[in-house]
Amino acid sequence: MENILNGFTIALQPINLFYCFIGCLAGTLVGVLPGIGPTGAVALLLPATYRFNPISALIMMCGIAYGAAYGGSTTSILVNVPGEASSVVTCLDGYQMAKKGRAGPALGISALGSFIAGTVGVIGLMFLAPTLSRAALAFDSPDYFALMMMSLMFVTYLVRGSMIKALIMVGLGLVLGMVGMDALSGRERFTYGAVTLRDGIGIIPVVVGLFGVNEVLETLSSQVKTDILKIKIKGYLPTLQDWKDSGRPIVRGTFLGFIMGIFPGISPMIPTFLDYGIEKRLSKHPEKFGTGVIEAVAGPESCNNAAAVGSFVPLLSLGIPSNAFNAVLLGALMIYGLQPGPLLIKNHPDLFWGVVASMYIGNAMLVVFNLPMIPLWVKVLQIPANLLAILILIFCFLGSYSINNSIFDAVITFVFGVFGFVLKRYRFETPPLVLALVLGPLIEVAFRQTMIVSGGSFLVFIQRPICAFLMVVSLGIVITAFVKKRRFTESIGREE
Amino acid sequence: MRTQGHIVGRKKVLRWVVWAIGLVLVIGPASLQAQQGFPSKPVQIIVPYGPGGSIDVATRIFAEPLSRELKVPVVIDNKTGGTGLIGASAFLNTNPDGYTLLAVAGSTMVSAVQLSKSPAFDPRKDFLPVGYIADSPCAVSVAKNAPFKTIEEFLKYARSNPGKLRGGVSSLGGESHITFELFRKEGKFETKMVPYTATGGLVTAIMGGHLDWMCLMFPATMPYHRSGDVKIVLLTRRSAELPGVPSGPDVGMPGVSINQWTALLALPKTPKPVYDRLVAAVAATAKDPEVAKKLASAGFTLDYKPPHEVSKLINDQWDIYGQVIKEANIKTE
Repeated sequence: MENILNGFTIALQPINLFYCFIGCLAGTLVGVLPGIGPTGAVALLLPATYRFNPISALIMMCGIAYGAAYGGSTTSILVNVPGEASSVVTCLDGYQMAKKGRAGPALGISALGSFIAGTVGVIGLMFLAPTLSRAALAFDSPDYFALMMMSLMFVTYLVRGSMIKALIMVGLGLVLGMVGMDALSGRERFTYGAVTLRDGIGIIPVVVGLFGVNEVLETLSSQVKTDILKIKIKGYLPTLQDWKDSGRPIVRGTFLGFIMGIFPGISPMIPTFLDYGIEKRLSKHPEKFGTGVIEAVAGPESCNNAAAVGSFVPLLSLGIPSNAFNAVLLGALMIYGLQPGPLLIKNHPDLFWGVVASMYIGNAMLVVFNLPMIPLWVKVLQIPANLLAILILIFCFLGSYSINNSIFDAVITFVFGVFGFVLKRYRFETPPLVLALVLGPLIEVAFRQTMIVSGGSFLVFIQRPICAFLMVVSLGIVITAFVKKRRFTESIGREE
Repeated sequence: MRTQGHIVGRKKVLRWVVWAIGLVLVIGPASLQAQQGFPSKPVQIIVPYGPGGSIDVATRIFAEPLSRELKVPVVIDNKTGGTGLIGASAFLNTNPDGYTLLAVAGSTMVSAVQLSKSPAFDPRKDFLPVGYIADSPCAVSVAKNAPFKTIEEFLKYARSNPGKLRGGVSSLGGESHITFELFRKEGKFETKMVPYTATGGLVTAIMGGHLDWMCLMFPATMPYHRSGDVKIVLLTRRSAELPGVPSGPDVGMPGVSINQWTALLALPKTPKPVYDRLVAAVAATAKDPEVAKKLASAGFTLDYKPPHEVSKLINDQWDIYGQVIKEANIKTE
């Protein structure tokens, strides 16, 4: 308790409040812009922070991380371009809500859900960080493999149409995930000698193409040019009914996101996909998912914020970065002369508690300056369709180029934009492809590590309790999905 | 001789220019300015790895005092990808005016080129070393609950239980992987090798008891040694921080002596006066005790070496890596 109070004394110092504000603001900005993520932003800002006190610097950088998790949903909802990888799922129903004139409530529930998730996450970080991070160490490669397989099974809940077509997309996603230098043997696969392909195909360029560019092509090819102008805006804030629908999804999203965020190497994108699947599974009207239901926005958006906070657990308590952004923070700590690792909290309590306390404050700040922005954002939808299309295209290409300053990434975005357009024509759905692309490399590495240790025996998968449990759950998902799928397809049929 | 005021005035102008660095570097009429007195605009260092990695950290620590020495801002540009090859290739296409330098993890660069099917350059010929900044050793460490606590116990156990131990490395082709291969060869024992894709996964695995031992860079291992989660039993070079831990050559393994080093490189066509100025600036910066302290707290040892020694090192390591990669049967086809 004393520690927490001490943390707040540090975080509430005017200078730290200022840096917290700057961080949140910058984070929201990079979150809103597709492509440019918190990692790039922090790397750019790093030299400017050398003269700061390390606590202030870290407060600012953390602000960028959770600020970006807030901002990422904005473009997903408004124009179907995910601002961050973790906001891909938000596109599915968020954009449909915007098309129905409910962009305001969608943005509102994202901001408020994020606030709740962020705050709960920070409480978890504060009280459970060391315990939880040690508990997560029990996971070995077979368990990761099972966890990833289970996540992949949720693909059955991501599609509305044909399951066969969804599985084709999964296959394609897995193949695309294999492009590049194999991390475990050094062999190049599907690179055709191109150096740019050695790192594989980036997720952001693909996603921006499949969603953003594809949407623009769709708009331009459709006959109704004034489509967007016709949208009547119905309210800026979530209604009471919206809250009733979103309450439980926010709670579930928060817990799922926080727990999965703790595991190193799991991108915050994966829990959002899982959460969408879980919400659809539990929903009384799963056939409406994908047409703009608010719980499908509230859950994943809470989830990605909780995951952003959850990833600080291994970083601050063990010195283990669970994503690229945290790796930069780790580097920053080293440049400041602090030694990140299991002893960080003990040796630098001011840093840990100060930063954690600033996260409470930062989350509150984000809500305060995000809610008044909503009417402004919604106005974006009133920009003439053709002009908006051009703007979206510019942002898409600029965004994917800016990740690595690579023209190749912009080309990927273009190719996948056109490809996505073709897929849509033939009623293939793209979310399974994205999920498989993210999970494929993780599944493969975990599987091969398992095989190296076990000497080729598959028994490990049922000998380890955690692993066996997850395997049973995956099997359960597949079986119940096929049973439910029939009824589900029927109800979609009825609706149409 | 310029007056002090003249330089200060210029500095002020340049401070504005920093904000438009990208633009300046593209359209700056470099050749003219180079003759007027180097440097007259910001110097850029390409780091061909992601921000936050060890080479990035070391270069950033070094860049700050270097900018004071050169009296212009020194900017870091992370050009990530292709295990360092993309940044290095981009560097080869820049103007040889000394305004763009490359920071490399020497040996990673060597192995990345050797692992490449059609290498775009030869690190022995295509670069002009400016100076060697710092290095850090590789560490062989064992899990907390392992039945061995010293290198002798480790080797005894490993030799009497061939193929049973689970050893981990963080990235293929890097210093720690090469050390892993040399260690098991010169230590004459058999072990499983579990490769990980990032340091985080490797450290998590050994802390969770899923590995018996690992090879990882010293700065990355040290926090877990201090907290008692792992125990360092062997280093590729002795460290003042761990006086009791032997180095590879100490225990009869001369090959287990590869350190991860960071050097700055220029292009061979750089004008002589500019190059000399850069070499002198790097040498002078390396004498700053503050730099040594900062690098040490991040796990690096400041160890300046002049250009010709860097060239020799690249040549030597080219041969060692080539042999290890061939023997370990790492292929890219």
